[in-house]
Amino acid sequence: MLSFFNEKLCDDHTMNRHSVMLLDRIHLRILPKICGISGLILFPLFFVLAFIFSHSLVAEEFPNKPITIIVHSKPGSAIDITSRQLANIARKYTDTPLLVENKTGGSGIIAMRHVLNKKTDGYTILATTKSFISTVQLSSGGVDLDAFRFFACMVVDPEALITNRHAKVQTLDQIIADAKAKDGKQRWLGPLVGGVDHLMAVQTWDKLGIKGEWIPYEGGSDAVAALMGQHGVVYVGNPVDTKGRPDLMLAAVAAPERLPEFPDVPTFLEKGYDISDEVLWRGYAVKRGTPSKVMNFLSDLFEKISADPEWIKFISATSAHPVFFAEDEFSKRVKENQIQARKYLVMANVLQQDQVKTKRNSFVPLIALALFILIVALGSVFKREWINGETVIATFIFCLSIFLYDMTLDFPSGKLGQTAGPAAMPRLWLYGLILFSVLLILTVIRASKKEKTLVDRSVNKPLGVIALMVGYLFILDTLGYYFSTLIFLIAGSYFISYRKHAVIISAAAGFVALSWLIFYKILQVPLPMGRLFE
Amino acid sequence: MEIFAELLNGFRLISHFIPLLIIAAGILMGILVGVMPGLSPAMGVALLVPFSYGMEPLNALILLASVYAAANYGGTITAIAINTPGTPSAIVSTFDGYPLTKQGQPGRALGTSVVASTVGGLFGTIILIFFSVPLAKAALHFGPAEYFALAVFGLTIISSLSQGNWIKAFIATLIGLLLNTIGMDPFTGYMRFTFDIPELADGFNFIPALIGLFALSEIFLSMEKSQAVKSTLKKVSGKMPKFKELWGLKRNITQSSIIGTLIGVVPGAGATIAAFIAYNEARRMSKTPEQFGKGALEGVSASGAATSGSVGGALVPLLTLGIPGSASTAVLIGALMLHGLTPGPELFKDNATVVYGLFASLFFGYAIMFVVGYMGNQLWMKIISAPKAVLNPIILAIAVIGSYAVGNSMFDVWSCLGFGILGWILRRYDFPTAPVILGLILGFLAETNFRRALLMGDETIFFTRPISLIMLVLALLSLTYPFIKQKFAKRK
Repeated sequence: MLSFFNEKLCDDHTMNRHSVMLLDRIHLRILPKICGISGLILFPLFFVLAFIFSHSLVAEEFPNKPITIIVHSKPGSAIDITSRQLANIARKYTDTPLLVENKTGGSGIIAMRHVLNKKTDGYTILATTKSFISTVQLSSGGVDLDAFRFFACMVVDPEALITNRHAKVQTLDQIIADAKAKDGKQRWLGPLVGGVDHLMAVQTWDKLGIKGEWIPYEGGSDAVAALMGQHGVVYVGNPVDTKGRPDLMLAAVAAPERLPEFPDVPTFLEKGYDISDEVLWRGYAVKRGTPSKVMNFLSDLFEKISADPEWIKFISATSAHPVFFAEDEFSKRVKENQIQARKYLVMANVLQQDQVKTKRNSFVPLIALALFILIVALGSVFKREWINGETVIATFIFCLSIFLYDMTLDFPSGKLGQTAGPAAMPRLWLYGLILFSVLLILTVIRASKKEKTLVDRSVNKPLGVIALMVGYLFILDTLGYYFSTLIFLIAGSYFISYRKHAVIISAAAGFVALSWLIFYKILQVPLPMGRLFE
Repeated sequence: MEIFAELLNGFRLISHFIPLLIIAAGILMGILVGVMPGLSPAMGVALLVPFSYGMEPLNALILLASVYAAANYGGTITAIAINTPGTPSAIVSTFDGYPLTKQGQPGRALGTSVVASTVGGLFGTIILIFFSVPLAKAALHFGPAEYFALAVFGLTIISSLSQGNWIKAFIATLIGLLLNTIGMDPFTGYMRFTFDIPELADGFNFIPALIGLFALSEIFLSMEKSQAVKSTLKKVSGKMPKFKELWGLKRNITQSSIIGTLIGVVPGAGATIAAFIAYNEARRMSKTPEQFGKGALEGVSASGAATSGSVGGALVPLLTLGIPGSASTAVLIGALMLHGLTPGPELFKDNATVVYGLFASLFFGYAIMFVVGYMGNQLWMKIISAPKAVLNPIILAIAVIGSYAVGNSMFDVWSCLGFGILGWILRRYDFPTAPVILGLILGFLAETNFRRALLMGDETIFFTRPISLIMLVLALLSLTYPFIKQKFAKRK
């Protein structure tokens, strides 16, 4: 009955929604009267009971609630739009709504973890791309791709070398000749190091027997802009990148045969190089352990979608290929890609061959901490007037900078940039912090006689509010957004010693209702529903 | 003139009930998205993409463009009213807008912001229509050396934000720059300062940092004073700025609009950098630079005009080259492709009506935005005059929901609280927090382009390329100018 608090509801459950809203309204009326501590306990308790009650009535048929697709990138990215379109088309084949939820961070690790933390009931699907393979190998996140079952590969997009039509170097042969002339100085543009496109470049250099310099950009489109401005020679991407950009041309594609949309573009194979089938794939996976009945349902659903004319039209519009690889073939590809990625990550020096991380035993953190305590303590004993907020902050920054500087000693020098490795900029900023914190201490000491005193100020209230917020964030996870926010708002107002109950409660309830309206109803941004209600 | 004929045609296409309704809905939605911290313009556009599936291509495009345009303005509202920038670029509006609110004049600040945003947006649109081709060509010349020089030039803005104590301003900037290096190194894949926390692999998200450093720290700080609990703001005056006041800002707004548009054109620079630079230039031009940071209308208008101007600017490379000039336009590309339109020069040839319809819709959109914004100000004023004890917990809750919405992650919410505490401690001891943001914005631009430039050549690359050299010289002048001025003033 209260599944409304639980997951986003499908439309045919409107009955439930009304009854819940009614309940909600009644509560808001009762709330002022029972608003003591007992109310705060009873209130959630009631919902827990109602929730358990409601779930015992639900039949065990898959699917009986919306299925969520977890996307690792922000709304608007290629995989996000693909997934949303997929969810859209899925409506034709199932009554169960598919919802897209973005869980960003860690280049996909966060999304993978999120799915692994869910039950193996098939209600949480992970949208995957080939980039996950590098992500997992590079990250220390402890996620293993074997923990997933890759059940449907929906899109493949061949990798391609793209050049500028106005530049001297345009075709594959010219690229090779130019690369040999430049002897490793030829600039190849593309997204970040270790990604799919970078590994494609490394593989190309390997198979073509040339060398290049990989110039990484934040995203594909930044690199495309750089190619248009002729800041480099080759861009590694996909055929779609040339769409609507007449200045760009495809030099070669990594497909088994020529692409029907680009009949003039040669493949690597016909030029005599063994790069036959390098694609960027997009597919879907669930956590290993999902029942086979559920797997069959999902696999069947996705296969139907893959044959849908609207889907085929949509994918073709992005110059990619709609496909359907079932679990066997998809998993085989993932396995092969993993071995290959490892090889080229090592070749590109992104991954070290010997994976032993040598951790230096360093006492610097301890020394930095001791130094901080020592300075403050000595100051307090001998020069009381020197110790104030500013000097303590400056000393802290000084000691922290030393500690962080010590960390930068572990950073690799980086083959990619002999002149400026990953440590260069952090060190520069740390030098600055050390210099300015010392300067600040000196100026404060010189002016210490006219020290300002903070009158009429107390840190108790802010600390109390911070504590309240910490509590709020903790219950947010279990009780869900709507509940905990209501409690927090009321508690917050009381804490600031405000006593107009009617104002407080109506404002809190009004805000929660408004945020539900804006985020959930209008913008359809999912808010945490709370572990209790899942 | 072919352009005028096409444009007239565009207006004709738009002047129907349905398109106008869509524009109005888009503007309202955009303001809403802008007002909610955590929902950036790009996210707002992305969230509306599914709504546009069923629409005609032109209608879909004008809906998304209206959202984009209005979201940039919407962010300035909360920035001025409650010191919570609703969008990253609105952070500059807090510098002077919020002090004005504290002085009981939110009406003046909000009114100026809506006027400046409208004018800036119209300016950007006009530049987009008439100068997009040469501007896009010029933007392509921006290589790593130029981006690095732009970042260095941007960093000289510290002098405007230092509030008299330059040592503390430098420390704050360096904290921002250092925070920026957390996460995976883009050039080697090495995890820097992540302490094996996977969430930190991409570094801290910008929006939670922004909300924490500004909104949360402000609340913590205001709670230190015990007596200010029950009181509302003293005498909130709903007075809008006088026409004469606004007319006095005409040079400021024009200049800021142009800066905003030009920086918007450069892919990857964006509205936030545009607003910062426009603010700095406005301060330099001002007869009363000492008022900046304490409630100068010029500061509010510079930020609003530049932010809105950048919208037109960001559309320039999108429409002429098919390259997004901002995060929002990147989403627009995806949405256009869904409708079978590929942004780029061919769009002008094959679908000119769509392009000019879009241009026309922007004019209507900004007109509607002006009306809605001006009328809406009364509502914001009501909200500001709510008792602090009710308003403050709500702002904290908005901060939570906003940081969560960025990536649906509790980590962002916790980092928002962390930044709030950091901001509180810093501000308690008179460290300005705006430079931290400046460091966060420019650090990445500076580092990646510095290293990219060195990958491409040697150190001389920064001085042999004319645009880069000019900007570096300007940066040097900009940094030393205050001291030189002081010297001259003494001599007199």
